[in-house]
Amino acid sequence: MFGVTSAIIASITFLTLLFVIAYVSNLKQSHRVRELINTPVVYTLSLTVYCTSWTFYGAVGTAAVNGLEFATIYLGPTLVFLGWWFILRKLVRISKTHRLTSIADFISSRYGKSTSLSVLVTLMAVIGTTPYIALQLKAISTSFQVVSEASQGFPDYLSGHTIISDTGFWVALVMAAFIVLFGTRNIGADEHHAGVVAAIAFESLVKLFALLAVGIFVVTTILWGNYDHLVQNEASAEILKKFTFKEESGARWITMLILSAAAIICLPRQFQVTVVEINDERNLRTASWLFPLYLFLISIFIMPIAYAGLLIMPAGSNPDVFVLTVPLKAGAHELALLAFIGGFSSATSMMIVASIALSIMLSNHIIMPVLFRISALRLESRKDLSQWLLTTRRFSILFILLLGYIYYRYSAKSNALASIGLVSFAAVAQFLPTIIGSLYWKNGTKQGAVAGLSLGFLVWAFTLLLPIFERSGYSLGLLQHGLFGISWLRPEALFGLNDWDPLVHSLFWSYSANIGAYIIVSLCFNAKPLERLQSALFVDAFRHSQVREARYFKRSAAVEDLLDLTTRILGAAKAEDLFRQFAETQGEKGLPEPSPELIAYVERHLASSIGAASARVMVSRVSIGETISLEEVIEILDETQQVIEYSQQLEQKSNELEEVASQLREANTQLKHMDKLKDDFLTRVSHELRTPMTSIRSFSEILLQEKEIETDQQDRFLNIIVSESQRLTRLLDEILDISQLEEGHGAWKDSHINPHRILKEAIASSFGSAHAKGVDIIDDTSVKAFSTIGDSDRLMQVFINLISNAIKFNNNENAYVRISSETDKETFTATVTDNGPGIASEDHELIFSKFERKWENADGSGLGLAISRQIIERMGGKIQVQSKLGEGASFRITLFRAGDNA
Amino acid sequence: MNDNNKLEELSFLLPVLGIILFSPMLLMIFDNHITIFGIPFLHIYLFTCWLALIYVSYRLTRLLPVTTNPVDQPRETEEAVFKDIDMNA
Repeated sequence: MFGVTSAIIASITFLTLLFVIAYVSNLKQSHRVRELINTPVVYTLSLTVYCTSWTFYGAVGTAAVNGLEFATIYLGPTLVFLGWWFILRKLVRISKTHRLTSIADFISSRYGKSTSLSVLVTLMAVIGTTPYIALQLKAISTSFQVVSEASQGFPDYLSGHTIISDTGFWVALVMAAFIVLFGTRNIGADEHHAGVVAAIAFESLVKLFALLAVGIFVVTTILWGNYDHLVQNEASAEILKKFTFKEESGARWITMLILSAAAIICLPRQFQVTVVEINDERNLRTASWLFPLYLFLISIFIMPIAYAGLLIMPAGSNPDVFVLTVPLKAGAHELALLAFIGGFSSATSMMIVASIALSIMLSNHIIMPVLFRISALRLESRKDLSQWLLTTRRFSILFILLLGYIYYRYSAKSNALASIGLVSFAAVAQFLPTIIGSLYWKNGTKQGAVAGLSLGFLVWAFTLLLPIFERSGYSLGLLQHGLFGISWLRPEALFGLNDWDPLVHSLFWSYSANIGAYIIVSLCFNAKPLERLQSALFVDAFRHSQVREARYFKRSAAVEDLLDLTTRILGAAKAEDLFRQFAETQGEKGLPEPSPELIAYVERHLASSIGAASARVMVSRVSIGETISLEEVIEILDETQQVIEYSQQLEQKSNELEEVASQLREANTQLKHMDKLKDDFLTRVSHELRTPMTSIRSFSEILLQEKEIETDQQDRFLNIIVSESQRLTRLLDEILDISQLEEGHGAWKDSHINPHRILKEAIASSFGSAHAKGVDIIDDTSVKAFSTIGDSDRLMQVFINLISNAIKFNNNENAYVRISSETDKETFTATVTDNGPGIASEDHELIFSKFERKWENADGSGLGLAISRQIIERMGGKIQVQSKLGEGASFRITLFRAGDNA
Repeated sequence: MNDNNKLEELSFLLPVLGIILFSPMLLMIFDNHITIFGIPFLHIYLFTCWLALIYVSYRLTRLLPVTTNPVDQPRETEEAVFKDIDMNA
């Protein structure tokens, strides 16, 4: 048997154990313990502070009343973590980069480090979390009540009629003392609470173990043992009917999914464990699947416990404590004690983290700024402010827990746990539009955020919080008659929206007001320079997380002043440490060099103790800042934009580069090839020059040396010398000719010419040589009207070259050369066909090349075709050959009619 | 680079898939009156989908590139933390 006494002893033992864990984790010697705390698993376990006594007790209560609905509270966070890459990762990246310490800090920092926003968010968070803390107090005191009723009846000293006899009050006080002792031991430079994280991780294991133990007990002992009986039991069939999904619950289902997804991001304590306490961004990877897995495990036995509770507990029992009453009823007292500790653990972990997170916000954003304004305190000139900070934190914790208690005592006593919790969810969910906007929307402004948050919060308070007080006996009759007696201002039927679930109704109106005001007001205002800078830094967090604020603001300050300021806020030891570390990065010993980076560094570290807005004010008092003009900021932002564009173009550029490189490679190959051809050409030219030169030289030498040569012989030799010289001249002329043609100059006269007529002339002048060689010329041409632009002498040269080649190389017995010409609208075509030896198809291209042609016979350089091609191409025409070896050849020249643009 | 982009897009699909699987519409389809070992089929559907999504997320997360925050400064030295405890004890 266990009763109130053992419950109290168990609770106190448990708290002591937590304290020891936290203490050991903070010790320097236990290096291994600290490494353990930094692991992703411990990080994930600390996130499960999400599962409070609402999960431990309330989920079963929800399941017993509304069936599957309880699961939405865990499905929403599951969905958020499945999409961790997009929201949570960015949230963590930004917060770590800017050393943000709370959700108020985050929102205020995004909108230009605005003080008014941080105050607003802090107030909203404190008010919104109050019902949640009340929920925990209620769960603990109810569990005490259950335990004592089960043993010997409720003792008088815990009757709850007065505050002194109210368990909730004492729980609140003990928790406040405990949290003050273990959560505010030191002011961290970045609000890390390694000890707290370790304790929370431990608690998460305890509550999971306890709930699984109860679940397994229920399934194996109560349900499985009576399986055959239950299957036929009518009562159990009735209960199962409850667990179906009703059509009308669709809207509420979606609403709760949205609320729980919002809560996992926006709850101050979730922000604390997920974002502030993270040591390494990579821990989020593991949490992305391990945290949903934890939620899955903790949910899996909720339905069976609810089912068993409805089955074995008398009608009218409180389903919120089935986790405790079912084992008690079944006589498993040790299990009930375990369940009690599990519930206690889940409630305390929430209270610890929530009150620490809220106390940081309260002291940083409200209390300290106010104290600074009270000149009588002379805080600015005090040597050490860290003690002041700690004290305000401690009072804040006390204040928050007492606020929770007051709410619990005066309004929450009669409500189911889940319904209290959902009120909190709906409150913090108001942060979501602003946060999502912070991450992805650059044009959101401070005014928009203030308007959206406050309107959404007001609508929440009116539609959800107010009805609770109305029903708790402090009614003003608003529910029936509406505000000022106006019926469409009834809190649960705003603007005549009747018959909706209050939660759906509230979320619809509050989000409409919130999102609408945020967007519209944002668009009506222009952001201030600092705001625009912050928005760029937040939205593009992954693009330039290296970018430091220092780049943008030119400020200067004496190092001594900065050190003095830091010492006053963080304490001497920490301040010296920070400055020494910075000096090391500069490579200095002792004090660091003054620089804008140092100022930004100091400001960032102060921000983690007193919030971004306060830190900015403090630092600005010792530093002389150049006021940054709007133009400068726009320039900076443009520069940022350029960086982004560059990075986007980078891939494209590298593709282009690759293309250029391959083109270059190709060009290079071509150049090499041409170089080789040039060499070949030179070799051939020199060879070709050598032959006539050699004969000229040798005959001249003979004539010189042999004086007694006969006259006939002399004449013969001289003739050879003359003809060889002529050949040499011709060769040189042709080489000169082709190189001039290639370069585009040389003798060339453009005029309107008729190619028919020129062809006719060329044929006429060829008859002589044809006759001499016995080749028939078949003239199929006729002169028609056609005009093109070109040099008539040059064209004549081409025709004669083609015809004379055809005559020259034709060794057929019945040799002939057929010349024909045709004209159509645009083109003139001349064809010179012979029945000579033909040209192998692989040589078709080579014969037009000045380099490759086999230079032949005595009568020409062989450059004729190469020159012809140059001429025809210069006239814009084409020269082609059709031939097979042994079947004659056919050359075709195509010229185009001189057009308007000729 | 392209593969990573595709993975990111795929990981965007996962929560969307979750929203569809957990939508009231699909739940109503599976809310028949069949029970397996006394467990309503709807519950089996919900928890199976849940576990499957977690498994896919586990596999996908291992494929996504590891990112770290370049501005992450070294943690406060151990001495600093210890000194603080002394200071405020």
